[in-house]
Parts: sequence; structure tokens; C-alpha cells
Amino acid sequence: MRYFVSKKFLTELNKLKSKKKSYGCIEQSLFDEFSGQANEVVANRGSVLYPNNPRAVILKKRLAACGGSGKSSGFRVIVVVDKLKNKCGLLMLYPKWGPHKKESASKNEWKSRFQDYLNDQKTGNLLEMKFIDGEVIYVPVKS
Amino acid sequence: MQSETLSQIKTQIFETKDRAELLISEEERVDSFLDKILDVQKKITQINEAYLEILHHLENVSCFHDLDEEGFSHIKDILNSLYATNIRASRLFSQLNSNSVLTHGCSTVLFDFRINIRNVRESLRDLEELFFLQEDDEELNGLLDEFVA
Repeated sequence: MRYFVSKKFLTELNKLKSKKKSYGCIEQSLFDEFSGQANEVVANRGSVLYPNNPRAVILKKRLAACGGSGKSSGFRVIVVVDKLKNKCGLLMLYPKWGPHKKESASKNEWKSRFQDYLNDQKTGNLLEMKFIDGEVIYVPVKS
Repeated sequence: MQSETLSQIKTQIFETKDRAELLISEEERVDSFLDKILDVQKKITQINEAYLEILHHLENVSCFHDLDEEGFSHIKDILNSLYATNIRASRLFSQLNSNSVLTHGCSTVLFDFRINIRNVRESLRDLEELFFLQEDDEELNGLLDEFVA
């Protein structure tokens, strides 16, 4: 599976990361959730938010929290998965606790992030999220 | 004289012993009180574990689509039943959380309990939206078509 993020997603991720005490582990959580996972797991694990496409599905995934509190108080990431091309777009990320905690994300919110993602895809601003040597790196991709 | 002294010593010993026993029984009461806090902690942990299982099952429920009448009936039963359970859990949390001894003695498990209640509520709302409130969204269909193109 290949993973892609929009610039806005990365900006929000960095904003969370800057709150080291609360969200310093966010990339580790992403790494643990996605790195080395089988395509079927990525495409099926999580709560389905919109199933009305035979090839792609929108899912909400639960990521572990910092400090070993488990997934209950962790992060939520909303993704769109192309099951045929094994491509996963990360649309929106939010914590369930701490200074930037969010109870839930409305459909309009994640739809807007999906639009941002597709705009970046069109303009060649999309970034590929790679997992190398235990780290998460972001590489620009051309449309 | 020797006997009187012994009697006095005996009295002193008994008085001291009574005082010690009083302290011991208080200590036993404290132990029993601490045991009760541990019991509560254990029970909340068990509830939390059950809630995590429920969350896992709810994720699986969301994978079903194109449901027939029986399928929708199952979903309704699941939602109604879990909404009711979650309200009971919220009441229990509120009771436990209003006891200052428990909020200190069981702070971690109570924190998880509150989060789990909220997460189940979030999952139930997601399922309700998915199965009963969601309409085919032309705009979103367009975005998905663009994504897979």
C-alpha cells in the first residue's frame, strides 16, 4: 500500500507534533498503524464512513495515544483507500484528548479535506508518506 | 507486693493491648476500605475491556452494506441496545466520579471509562449516520471517482 497526504494534512500533523507533551508520538502512532500492514488490513480495519463506491472506501481509523493510554484516548485518522491500486490517502487527523481534542469530525469537514487532497493531487503538491528505518518521511510526488 | 506489681503490670499490659487492638481494628478497616477501592478499580477495568471489545465489533458492523430488512433490524437492535447500555454506563460514571475517594483512587481507569463511553457513543452515531441517515452524495461520489481515476 502507498500512502499520500495533502499539504494541509502535513501542516496539521506538524501543528500537533509541536505540542510535544501531548502529541509528540503522533508519527509513531501513524507508523504503528500503517507501516508494513497488509493491503487488506489497511482497506478493512476501521469504521466505514462512506461505502458507496465499488473500488474506494472512506474509513475512520483509531490510532494509539501517547503515553500508553491505548486507542481509546488516541487519534482518529480519516482515510480513503483505493482497493485496486492499493493507494491510501490520509485526509484528516485529530486527537481525542489534550489541547486540540475533537469529539468527532463532520462529513462536511472531511469532505473538504478530501477536496484539498484532490486539489494537491491535480497540482502536483501531494506528498507520499514513506516509512523508512522506523521513521516517517514525506516525499513530493508529481501528478 | 510482688503480686500487686504483677497485677499492675498486667493492667498496664491489658490497657496497652486494648489500645493496640483498637489501632489494629482501624488498620483492618483501612485495609478493607482499600480492598473495596481495588475491587471498584478491577470492575471498572473489566467494563473498559468489554467496551474495547464492543468498539472492535462496531467497526466490523460498519463493513456491512446492501442490507436487507433483517439486516436493518439487526442494526436497529444493536444501536438501541448499546445506546441504552451507554446511558447506564454514563450514569455509573457520574456516580463514581462524584466520589472524591474514587476519583483519586481510580483516576486512570475512570479516565479510560469516560473515553470509552464517548467512543462508543461516537461509533453508534457513525453507524446511525451510515445506515439510516446517509443519502447518496453526488459530490462525494464525484470526489471518489476522481480519486480512483
